[in-house]
Amino acid sequence: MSETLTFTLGHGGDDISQARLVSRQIQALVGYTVRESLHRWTLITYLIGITFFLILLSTAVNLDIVEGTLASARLFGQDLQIGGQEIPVGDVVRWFQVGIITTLYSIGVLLALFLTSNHVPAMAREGWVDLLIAQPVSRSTLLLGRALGSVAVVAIGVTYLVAGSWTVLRIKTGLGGMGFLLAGLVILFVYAVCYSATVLTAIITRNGPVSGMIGLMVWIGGHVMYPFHVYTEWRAVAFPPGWRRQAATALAEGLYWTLPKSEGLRQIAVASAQNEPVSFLPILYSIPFAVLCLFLACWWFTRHDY
Amino acid sequence: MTTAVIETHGLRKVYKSFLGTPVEALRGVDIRVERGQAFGLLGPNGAGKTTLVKVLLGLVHPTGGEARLLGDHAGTPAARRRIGYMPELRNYPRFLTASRCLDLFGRLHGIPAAERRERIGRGLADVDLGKWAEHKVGTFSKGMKQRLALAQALLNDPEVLFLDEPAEGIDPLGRVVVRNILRRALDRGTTLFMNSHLLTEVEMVCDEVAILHHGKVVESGVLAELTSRERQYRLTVASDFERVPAVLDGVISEIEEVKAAAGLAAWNLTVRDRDALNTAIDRLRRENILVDAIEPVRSSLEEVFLRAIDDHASPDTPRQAAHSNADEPETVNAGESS
Repeated sequence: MSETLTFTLGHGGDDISQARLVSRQIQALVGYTVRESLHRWTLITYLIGITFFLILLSTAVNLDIVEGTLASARLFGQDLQIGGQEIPVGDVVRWFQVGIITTLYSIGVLLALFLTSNHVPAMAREGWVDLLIAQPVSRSTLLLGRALGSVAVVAIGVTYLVAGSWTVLRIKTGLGGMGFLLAGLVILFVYAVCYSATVLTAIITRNGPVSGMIGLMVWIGGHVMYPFHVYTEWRAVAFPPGWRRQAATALAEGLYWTLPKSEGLRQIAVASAQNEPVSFLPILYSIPFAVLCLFLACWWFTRHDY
Repeated sequence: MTTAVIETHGLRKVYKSFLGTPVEALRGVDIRVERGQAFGLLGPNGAGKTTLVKVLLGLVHPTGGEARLLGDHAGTPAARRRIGYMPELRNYPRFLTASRCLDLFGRLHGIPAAERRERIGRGLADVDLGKWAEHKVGTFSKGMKQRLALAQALLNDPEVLFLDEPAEGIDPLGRVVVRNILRRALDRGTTLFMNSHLLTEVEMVCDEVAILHHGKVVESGVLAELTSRERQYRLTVASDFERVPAVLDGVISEIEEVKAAAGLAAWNLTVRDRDALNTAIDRLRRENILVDAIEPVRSSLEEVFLRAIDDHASPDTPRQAAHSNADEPETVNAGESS
């Protein structure tokens, strides 16, 4: 139905389908956000840091592999003791990949949340948001296009780091499974889910740092609730007995099922990096949170007066 | 038959303060703007002008009443596709160049790439920013940003152009440039809706005005009608100056001598009606007094504005008839229905 709707442009009389128009608008908003990140040095700083890491990985780490086994390793030209043990090179590659993914999952996601937390407030500033809303673009498209732009900015960095590291390790060792690349996608997903909370907060408060903090709290909250859900014996230790334990348990379970499954997603990323089988349920269970946040953000944005 | 491109009926907007105190920004506004008109919206600060424009653009949701733009409900993306908007506050991203800035708006309008490039080049040249196309907006002066805003508003060749303080902050030469661009847009059939404090600019561009005060239209109509003083005419004669008051005695209500060019004499005449004016002319001709000119006396828009505001000092003062021919409401193009 929507594909058949057309709109006329000004006096010109050019007709364009609604779907095509929305597609062009989203492309424009994503491009504008990426350009803004380049201008603000956010993306450039990110890419320079990753480039520095990749150069370090490719030059500072030297692995001598003899018949599939690590014979010796040198870091910055210094021999590393392996203790006379034969270490399969596959294990070494896995260590590197797990290290990179774990770092990216923690520091990378937090940095990304803070570096992109100002995108929505910057769009919502007076004298700019009213001009954007006065264009033939729905407010939901405007907000989702902007949020997608932020995800695109982070995707560029994550892709560069993960694909770059994978390429360096592949060249140096001849090993490297596709799971590592999948782990990169999982990390991007974690960022996107937490960022949806940032978007919701940003459109209400128009405050970048506060929005970034909320995204971070959601990410942490997912980790904090995990043990209360999995290790039921913790409840007996952490909560007082009686109705208060029942209430606290219900609250903890409610929060666990509401918040993104940060810990489950971390486990998927790490398992993927090691080419181990993973369950995608944490991904499925995290999607409703992002959908709810974005829905509320669009609802608020649509109802608000500017 | 004329078509209304902008129409509001009983439009109301109530803002709630932080403590929940209601503030009525619009208190039942009815306006009608026909296609091809240059319509000026006037009013003191806080009158509700900006709120009215924002409702029409979909930036603000009305509390009650109805607003229609080009036949659609105001605020829908379909309606906004055929309009241009030049805001008062232009907070363009500093990192974008003038051409990239217009490119973003062209994309949001869905203009194809080749056509977009052509329109951007032409639009920037029209506002004398052609050589600044690849310069960042952050380096632009206020006047340049103003002209960029105009180029942006005209990018989609709009049917209705909303201008919020279009001449604010630019020098006289820049104003002439803006005015000429607006006149060209009018020639192409574009409807102008101008919100401005600069009454002289409105007077030079608009043919219809509405004066908003305390959220209500207190005066509206064709500019020429609003500024003409009721039954006042200026008589200029070229002979027998001293006889004129005596000749007109008994025909006119008031006579007041005013300054005239050398060799001429002039009076402002107040007459009861059109017949009395014609009787006065007949008497002058019968007495062989050489009439040089007779023309309606006009007020400035500023005088009309101040009078309208004075007449409606309190927000609850009922609106007086906007026109002398108030018994013909169907001829009123912009006004509040009684």
